[in-house]
Amino acid sequence: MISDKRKQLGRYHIEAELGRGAMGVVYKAHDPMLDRTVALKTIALDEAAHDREEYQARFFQEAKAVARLNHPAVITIYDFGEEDALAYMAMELLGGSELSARLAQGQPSIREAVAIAEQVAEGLAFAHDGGVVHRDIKPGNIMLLPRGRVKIMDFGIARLKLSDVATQVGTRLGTPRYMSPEQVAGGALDHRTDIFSLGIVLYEMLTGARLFHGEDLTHVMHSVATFEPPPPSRINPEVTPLLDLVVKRALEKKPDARYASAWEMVDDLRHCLQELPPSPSMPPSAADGTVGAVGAGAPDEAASDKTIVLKPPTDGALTVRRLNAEADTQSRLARLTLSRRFDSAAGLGRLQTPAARDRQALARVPRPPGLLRRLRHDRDLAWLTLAVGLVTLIAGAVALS
Amino acid sequence: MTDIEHPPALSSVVLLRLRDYARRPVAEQARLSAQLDAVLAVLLPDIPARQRVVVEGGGAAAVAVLDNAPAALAFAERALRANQAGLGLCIGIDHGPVELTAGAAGDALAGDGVATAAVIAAFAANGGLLMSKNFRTALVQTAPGAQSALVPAGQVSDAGLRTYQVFGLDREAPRRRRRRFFVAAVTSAVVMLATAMTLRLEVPDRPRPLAPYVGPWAAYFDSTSSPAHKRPVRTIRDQR
Repeated sequence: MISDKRKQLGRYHIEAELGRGAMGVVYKAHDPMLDRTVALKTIALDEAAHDREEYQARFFQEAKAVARLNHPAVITIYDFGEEDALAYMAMELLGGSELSARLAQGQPSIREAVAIAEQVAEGLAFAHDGGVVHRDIKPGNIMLLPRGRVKIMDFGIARLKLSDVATQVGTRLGTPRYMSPEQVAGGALDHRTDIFSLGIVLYEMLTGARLFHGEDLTHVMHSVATFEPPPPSRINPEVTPLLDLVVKRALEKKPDARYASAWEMVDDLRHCLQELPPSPSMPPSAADGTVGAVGAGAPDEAASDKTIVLKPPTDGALTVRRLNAEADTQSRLARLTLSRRFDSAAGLGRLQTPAARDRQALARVPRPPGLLRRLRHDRDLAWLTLAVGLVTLIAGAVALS
Repeated sequence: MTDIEHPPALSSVVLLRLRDYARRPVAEQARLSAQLDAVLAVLLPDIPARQRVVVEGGGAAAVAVLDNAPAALAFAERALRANQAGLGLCIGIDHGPVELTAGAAGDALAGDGVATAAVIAAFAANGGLLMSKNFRTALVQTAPGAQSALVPAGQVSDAGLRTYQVFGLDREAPRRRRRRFFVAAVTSAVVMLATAMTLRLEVPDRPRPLAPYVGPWAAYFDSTSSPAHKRPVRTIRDQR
């Protein structure tokens, strides 16, 4: 951790502390060479740790990969380096608010939610094309900028934090709620893990409900792996069927069943945007960036180490609704739910109050029908039997006369 | 948590699955889902409301037909005809227990009937219809003879290595069966009549309980002779 007295890191003059997290501190700093203000993210490198070199190499490798990305929806990395067991990364300083803070203030409109998701998906698609997988898409890593623009933060950093997650059992959970099933299972990750995480973010924006949650890490992970969420339109009737399909596809448990690329998701989200009626007014956070900052009442994850922005204090209250999201193991066995378009009330009544005959049918071994029953129902068999019978009579008469 | 609120009941589950649904763009998914809904809207009235429960989701729909296997088969056949419009339907039918379950995603049907129908539908080709042996048995029980349209189509195994014997639908099969029955009837008639004739010609001393009586059926008398000497005509004729 950087000393409080320290005023310089590399060529950067530290001006203020923006936030503090498990991995390090984020400062507001000045770059005298280019005369600009930057966000300086530091990560402490433990000298005694046996995997320090690997950790550092990975940090720089990720930083290089992200620094190559140049997209309006991806935060720009200016510089990175190491000094006194501190790895640092200089990046653009953003003015705006995190999506987590926006969600804490209230549910965005459908159009705003889709517009945000579309920009994030495009940024992810661009990054994926560059060979970078984010691995930690969540509202705390999505920055809402003025005029409705969006930036994705903390690219490629999540990989460094994976070991930290394992130590968080029993504590309040943040990132695991946005993990993909393969991430939870410790499997191989590719770009589709970001698509799943973005699907969760979109779901929560559309419904105002937390999709995966639990009392502890195990519960959350179980929920991620097994819980089949209801379509967003069941919670928010304004959600269009097309959006239901987009969310469902993004949230497929099997990566192969998800969008093959984030570009596909971008296309579909644009299609959804065209379907939606234009909003009467732009949401405040998207319009001017003055509202929606994280305050004292914001969720813990909003006040994590992803605070590379100025955060004016506000009184944002947590207003998200909770689903009765017990990990429903049975529902994954029966993914087909009762149709709301076709009335099954009469049939359900019979299913709910089965007659004695219905109950007996379950326990009875099926028996083949008798000959008379067969003859009554099977016309061909009846004709054959009749014909053979008649011929037998005639032949008998001929033989015995 | 899911609660099983009611005991299961046997039903014929017709599962209609849109082929390659998951791989299509969502705009096309929406279009196909709407088409599937339209097909269901047209076909469902043919099944009495008290005998059906409809579930759907994710490019598939299932109709649980209670106690009416022939209606389930007829529904599936009509759905297949609708498939000619390019819907890409694959249909699987099973007869098994289903139960109503309540879950976070809404009320749903669960049970072997649904699961097996889903497995079988997954193996059906585009525009194909596969049925389980259980469904065939149910069909034999409720409408003997209707099973003649079902022809063996092999065996399939699911991920749990459960093996199902499946049957396909062949509408020509009943005609072929009718033809077989006709041939059998004619052959048996020829054989039996030939045997009877042979017996008649080759075994003259056979018992002839059914032989017709060739004696006089009645006697009549000559009205010119006196009643005391009346004799049957035959006798008179024999005397001439």
